[in-house]
Amino acid sequence: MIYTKETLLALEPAGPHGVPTSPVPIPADRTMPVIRSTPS
Amino acid sequence: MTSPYQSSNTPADPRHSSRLGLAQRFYLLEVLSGLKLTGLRFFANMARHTLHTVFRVKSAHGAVTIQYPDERRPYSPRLRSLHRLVRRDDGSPRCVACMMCETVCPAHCIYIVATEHPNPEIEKVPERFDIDLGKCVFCGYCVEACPEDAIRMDTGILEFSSFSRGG
Repeated sequence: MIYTKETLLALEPAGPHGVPTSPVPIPADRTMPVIRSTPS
Repeated sequence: MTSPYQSSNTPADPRHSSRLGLAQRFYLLEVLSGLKLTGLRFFANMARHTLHTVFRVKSAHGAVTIQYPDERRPYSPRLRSLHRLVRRDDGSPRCVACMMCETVCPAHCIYIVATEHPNPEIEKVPERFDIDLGKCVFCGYCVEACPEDAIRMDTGILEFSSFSRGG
């Protein structure tokens, strides 16, 4: 679960009461699943 | 020698079963009083929830529980959450790649590769600044050690899962 410099630079400080203002970042090493269609 | 945590269930003990009355032996009154308390709480909470949901009485709290994650408790301003790198006015990172955070990190989860900054007044800038959150223990030593106040843990992001793979 590695966060790179670009990801960390894009984050913003939390708002009032500690509510996060940035979306949860996606780690650089998280791979997207490859959806393969099954041959019919 | 008896343990102080061991109950003395002897006839001399007033809690001994031979000294209890008939109703107390059946525990009927105690069971009914417990059911009374549970029922009172149940109907009070249901009435409050009905006022809040059906009759839209905003002063009546709908539930005593917090509807996480739609509703959250207010976090302390001292809470250490996900790190962020602070930018300069020109948008470049404030970090000067001094390696203080990487050195002080007890979990060895920070990896920095330094390079030259185009501005001659700034010696270095990180070419890579990676944090492995799988190793981080959120001790905050990196924030304390940074001489440039370039890294902070004030994003408020605590959950590193998301509702979709796109974030």
